[in-house]
Amino acid sequence: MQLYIDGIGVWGPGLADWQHTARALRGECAYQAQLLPLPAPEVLHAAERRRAPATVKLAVHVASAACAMAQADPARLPCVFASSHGDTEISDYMCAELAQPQPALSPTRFHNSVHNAASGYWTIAVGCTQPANAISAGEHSFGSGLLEAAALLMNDVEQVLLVAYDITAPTVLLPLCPVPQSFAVALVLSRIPAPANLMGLQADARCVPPVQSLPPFALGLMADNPAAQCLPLLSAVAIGTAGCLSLAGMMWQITPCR
Amino acid sequence: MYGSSPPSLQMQPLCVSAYTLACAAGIGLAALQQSLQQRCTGLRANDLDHCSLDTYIGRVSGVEDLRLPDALSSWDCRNNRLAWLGLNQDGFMAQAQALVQRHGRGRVALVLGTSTASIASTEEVYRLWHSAMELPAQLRNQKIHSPNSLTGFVADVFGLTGPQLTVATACSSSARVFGSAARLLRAGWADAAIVGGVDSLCLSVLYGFNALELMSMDLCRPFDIHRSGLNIGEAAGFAILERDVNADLSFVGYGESSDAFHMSSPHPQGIGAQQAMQQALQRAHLSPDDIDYINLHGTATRMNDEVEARAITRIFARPLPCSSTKAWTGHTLGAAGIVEAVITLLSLERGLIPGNLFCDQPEPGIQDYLQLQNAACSLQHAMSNSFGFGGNNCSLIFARTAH
Repeated sequence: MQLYIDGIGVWGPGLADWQHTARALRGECAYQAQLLPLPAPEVLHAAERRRAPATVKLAVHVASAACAMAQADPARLPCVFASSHGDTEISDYMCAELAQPQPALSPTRFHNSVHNAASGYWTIAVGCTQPANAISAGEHSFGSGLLEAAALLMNDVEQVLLVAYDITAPTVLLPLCPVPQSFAVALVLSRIPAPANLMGLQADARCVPPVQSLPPFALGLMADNPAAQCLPLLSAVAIGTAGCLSLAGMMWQITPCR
Repeated sequence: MYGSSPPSLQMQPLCVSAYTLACAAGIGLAALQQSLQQRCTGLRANDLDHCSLDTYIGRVSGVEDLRLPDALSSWDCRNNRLAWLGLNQDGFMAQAQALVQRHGRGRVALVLGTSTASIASTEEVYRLWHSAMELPAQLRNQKIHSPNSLTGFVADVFGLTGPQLTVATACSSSARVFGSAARLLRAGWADAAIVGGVDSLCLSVLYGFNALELMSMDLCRPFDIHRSGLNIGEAAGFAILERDVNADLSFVGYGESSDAFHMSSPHPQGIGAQQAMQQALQRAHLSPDDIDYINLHGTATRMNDEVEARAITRIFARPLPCSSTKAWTGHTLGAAGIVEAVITLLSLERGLIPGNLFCDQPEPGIQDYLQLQNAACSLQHAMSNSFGFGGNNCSLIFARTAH
């Protein structure tokens, strides 16, 4: 079955949005690795916008951008949130507190520590009662998230939201969770041919991925952050190339729609 | 653009050709069945190291003394030892190995649920840092300090190379694994699946639920009007799903939804829970009257049980036997889905409904439904519900093939 990418959201060092990322991937502008201020997603209520963890802010920000680009109603989309390491800032906080003789955990930070916090905040903010999944698959979290999202489309779902993110680990945790740069991506995927389609995707075990040439910044990000495993796919969309991609052991035949 | 009538909910029924469980109420199905029959709780007064909280826990004995085989020793942590213990019950290991032989390492999907993963190991790292003690090499292993530690370990046990992922949606995690696996098989990306989940006792969940004031200092009392919160438990459970084999039990329906309400409180009307149950019935092509038993989420928190009672009675107009089994096992969080799926499968197989333990005065509204005593009963269809933090709901339906 042919699947489609209808919308994209991106956030990373020096990558404020998809448009900028696409230009950088095409080599139309020089890439500047710049730590951008954390987004403050409008869709979150003011209090949440202040207090939400970084993981939630990034995930919700790129999800909003992808939905806007696809002109899709967020409330109607089942969603899959994928993260390799989860919220390492909260893990650090909790483990440090729990090492004290009399631990006193913040209840709010505890309920924010669940791996599905980002999907929870998102569904609450946009009023989405559709199924929401939160997954992890190590370095293949983006690819497995894509597989899970695609499987939904192959069953009884028409359009779905995929979000993948990982945040910079607190310094003390870096040796255990080696993520020195934050990055987040969101895709709205569907199975309906439509003017919004950017790229066609089809699982095809027979296709063979070529050796791909990516700009140095993209290779650097892929080494630094598992969510950036999306960059070969994003590069193909940006440049408009057809071909084959391997993600989480799955082969995908890709065909530009525009 | 996407039409006013969405595609009908579909599912291809799958055979449950094997299942197993290690939990506080029993290591292996025979021990579990005995605890259920004898109405003997697996809960005990909290004796977890470094934890001074006055509460009850569902602890699995012997995990500390367990050793992983040398080839897998790099995965060593409580959660993976518990997983290993579970895999080695009821001949599951041999059946799973045979499954992989039959279909190939790339064609058996692996979908496991967990909320704790190996966080207990990260907690230990911080304790050692705090006391300025040397970090042993074992704990410096990145792969255990990851939400995917469990799935990575089990994939290694069987040498799996196909679709594999961890579902971490709090208390619905190892219920959602069933739907994920069904979708992968129907998409043609795997021919069989190993599903399940493992959560282990750790300070994060004990102090966390205590901070949220959701944990009871006493033995939990699901659906009792005097209930005062949950007890945390640990468990490891697994099941094999495949097509067209000779099996008495099958997985026939699932429903998933979100409350879109609050991170740690359920929607007061239980709308999301109702949606999940309705979807499961639709996928299974069943009506509420076809369900013979429901294993309730029944955590014994004030809110969950009240809301769940409302949701059940709205969907099931005619009273039917329901019970929570969390007073046997504790609330095993990321493993609750598989624990209760296994108990539901066991009920179908053995024709025994486990009555709701530690409930003397049922929550009004559900008293006509709540099965307080065990009952021997021939069951065809049974449902198991799991409702998690962030309003993440999952309902599963299993069936017994009558012979």
